[in-house]
Amino acid sequence: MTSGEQSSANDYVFRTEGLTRRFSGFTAVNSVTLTIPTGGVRTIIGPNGAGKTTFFNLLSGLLPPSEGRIWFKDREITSLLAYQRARLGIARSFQITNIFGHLTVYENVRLAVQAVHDGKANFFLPARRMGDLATQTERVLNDVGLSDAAGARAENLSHGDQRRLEIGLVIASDPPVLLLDEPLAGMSPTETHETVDLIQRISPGRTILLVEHDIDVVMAISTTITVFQTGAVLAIGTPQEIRANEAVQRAYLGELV
Amino acid sequence: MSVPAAGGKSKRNVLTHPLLWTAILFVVLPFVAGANPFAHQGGFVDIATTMLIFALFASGFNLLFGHVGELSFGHAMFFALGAYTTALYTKGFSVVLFGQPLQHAPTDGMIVALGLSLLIGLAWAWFLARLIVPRSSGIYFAMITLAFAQVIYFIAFNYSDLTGGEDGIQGIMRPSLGPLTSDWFHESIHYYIFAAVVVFLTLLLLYWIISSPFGSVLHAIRENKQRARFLGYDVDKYRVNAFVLSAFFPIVAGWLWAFFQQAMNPDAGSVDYSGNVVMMSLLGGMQTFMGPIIGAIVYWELQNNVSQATKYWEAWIGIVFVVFVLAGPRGVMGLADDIRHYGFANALRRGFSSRARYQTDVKEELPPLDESVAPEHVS
Amino acid sequence: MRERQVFPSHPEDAAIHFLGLLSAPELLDQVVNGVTLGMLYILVALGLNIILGLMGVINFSHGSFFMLGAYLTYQLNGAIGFWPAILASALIVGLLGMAFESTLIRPLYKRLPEYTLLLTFGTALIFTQIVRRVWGDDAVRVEQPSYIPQSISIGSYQLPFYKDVLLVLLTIVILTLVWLLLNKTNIGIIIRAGTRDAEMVKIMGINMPLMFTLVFGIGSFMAGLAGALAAPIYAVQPQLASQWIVLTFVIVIVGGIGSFWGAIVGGLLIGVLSSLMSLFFPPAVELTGYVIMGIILLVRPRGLFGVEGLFE
Repeated sequence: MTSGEQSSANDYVFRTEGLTRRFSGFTAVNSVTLTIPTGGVRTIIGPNGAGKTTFFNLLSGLLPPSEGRIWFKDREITSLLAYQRARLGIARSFQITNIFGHLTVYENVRLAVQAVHDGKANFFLPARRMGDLATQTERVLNDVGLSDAAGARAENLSHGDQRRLEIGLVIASDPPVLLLDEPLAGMSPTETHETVDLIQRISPGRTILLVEHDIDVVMAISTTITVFQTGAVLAIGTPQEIRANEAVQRAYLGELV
Repeated sequence: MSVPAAGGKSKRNVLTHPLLWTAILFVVLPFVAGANPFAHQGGFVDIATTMLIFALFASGFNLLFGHVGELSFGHAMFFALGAYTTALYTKGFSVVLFGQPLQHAPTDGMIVALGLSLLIGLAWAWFLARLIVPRSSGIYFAMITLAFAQVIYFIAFNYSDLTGGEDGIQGIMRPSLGPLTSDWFHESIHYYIFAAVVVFLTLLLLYWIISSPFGSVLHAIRENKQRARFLGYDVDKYRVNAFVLSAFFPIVAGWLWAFFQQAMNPDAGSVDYSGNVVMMSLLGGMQTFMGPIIGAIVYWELQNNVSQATKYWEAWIGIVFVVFVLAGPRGVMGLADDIRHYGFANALRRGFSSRARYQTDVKEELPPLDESVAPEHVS
Repeated sequence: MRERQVFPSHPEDAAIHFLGLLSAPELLDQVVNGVTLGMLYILVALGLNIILGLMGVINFSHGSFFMLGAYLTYQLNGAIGFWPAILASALIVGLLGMAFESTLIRPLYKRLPEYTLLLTFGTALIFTQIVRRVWGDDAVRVEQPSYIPQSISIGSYQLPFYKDVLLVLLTIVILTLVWLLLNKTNIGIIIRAGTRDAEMVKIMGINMPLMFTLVFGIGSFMAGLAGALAAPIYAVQPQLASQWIVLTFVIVIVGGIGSFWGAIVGGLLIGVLSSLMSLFFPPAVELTGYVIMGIILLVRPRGLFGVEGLFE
């Protein structure tokens, strides 16, 4: 599974300029100007309330920005709706598990696979091409290790399996850019280990934006780390650079490590 | 609730296929409709025809309610539009509108009447869908659809030059179709057969829609709009399309209704009619294909029996409805499903126990998505 | 029921009609009429909107409570006198609302709000049939007491006293009291906190179910009061419930779900405009509210004072 667009002329996936989001009386993201290069695992860390998830929500189109602009590979997407951004190849997962609880695991994934064909395929004629969907669906199920649970209703899965299904939904359409919001939250050590493996397995050929609290995992798998504090970028660098950064240590790592 | 076996639903047993049961019901219905076990009566063909037409009407409503999760409290407007268009086309009319005389002679054209009904009804549905679907959902949507249905109702009620006002339109001729003469249609059982064929074919279309990939996107929207959006689905576009599609069935039902009743009055577009199909869907089981069909049959059976006993029969319908909302929101189909899974006594206890009562989840009894796509090899 | 009306055959008829009336005192008449009507709309719609906005319950039986208020006034008028009858009717309806909430609505809080609409639709059917059974299908009349003057003169202008003066003033007093209750008392603050964060309020040791019952009681009381006050003006009949509930929905949509001022502006707007419509284009009187609603939806989907994302 590789993404053809990855090698195109652009060397960044996202670029933001003065990106700001205010909630009544509170600025969650404060004039962030940032370029996120193509490829690798780009992690965003920061204390609670630093604006990481809001930043994700702005990139993926869940929230409109109060000010500022966003580009995706040279294309301005500031005013695009969430589904339009998803069709450009920006897929995201959510902090709180966000799946189709009453549908089966298989249907969940198939809906995600099928989404790529939306608007192109004739939906009333489940023709030969649906064969491709079946193959693709099974491949995704296999990738996230849920083949055995294909017939189960999603809400009946364990928490870890639901998180994996969520990642399955994200990778199902073979998107070039993934936004993963705390994919490891609430997982057992074993599940964490498996999920980290999964993220590393799917990362070649894609850009993964990750918000994560597990600092060991972050240090181990990140290409670069961006540190957010009170809605602004405090530092950017490789894991080694971030570890060595005094401001970061003071602001954030100091509390944790 | 246990986890079903992997791929357990991959092959649907022909004997439990909802379309088969629908067909069987339609054959049996004229012999048993209106049955009153105490009075040893039954087999009123006209009641059976009423059940059929409302089964179609309610099924269309339920495409939106049960499958997309949007409660429309105004679907009677589409029923009324279909019925009035058909009645006016068949009966003819003569009005003066903005200084221009507008006349239409009585016409025996069943198919043209259907075409016109669909044209007018779907145009209105499309306009409404574009106006309200992207702007509202939930109870807000329910209130708005109810209010717009009143617009149709008041036009039917007040524009008496055209619609006959409160008295409506009487003396609509049963039509002819090819070799089938108007006289042939006049026989109750003949009209029943005709209606049964039309309703069955139309329901076939509905079954096809909800079993298609399009239908599964609708289910996804019902379950989790936000997730569907982030997969790349234009959720509002699907909701608009589903709204228009769900108007199609009541329009066809209205067309059948006009020829069946041979008379028309504004009640067809009233809040009561809109509410009745909500009841039917809920009584039968809203997330199922057969639910609204069963619900329509149960409703009219009940109505027929109770209305013979008291002129306040609507109170009893209301009571039954309240009981179902509180204790059995999955309807008859849900109860049947529970009986199959847990046995009779347990199913009843489940339905009426306070714990189960709080559960919003309605177990899927939907047709499989598409046989060819269902997982086969999963071990 | 309603008078049957005919669409004018020529557009110029309507125009001539229109111009001829602008100078007439009828215009003032209709504005005053509209304000009166609007006051009743406000009372009913505000009751519904308080319940809807604070509890997320959409009460289709709200129109039934209005109807019951009118019928109870009819029943009690002879026995205990006019004003006591109005107050007693409103109180009885308020208590009925509380009983209704604690038995039938309460089990539905953990479900989608749509279920409350379904349930109350069912109970509305039952209420209407009960009223038919008790008071019959035909309209009954409530006479206003003889000590209330029939009309009052302002200069050369004659105003029906009860309908256009007393009712309007009473409504303004009631609305002020409701506003104070919601904004200046602990009850109002607790209720509003509770709808935002029920857990927190529970932790603070406040009995939320009781609060909800109380809110429902207040809302129902207002519907009953509106019905009682309207009883001398309208023919009291079983159709009242369904006639009023839909229009109440429209007012709430126009004003905005959960908004105090929305209900007031929406009620007055629709009251006055539909009264004026009866001068210009009588067949469309009943459509006025719906046309306004359509326009509002286009321009401000949440209603004039609505907040985004409430109960969807």
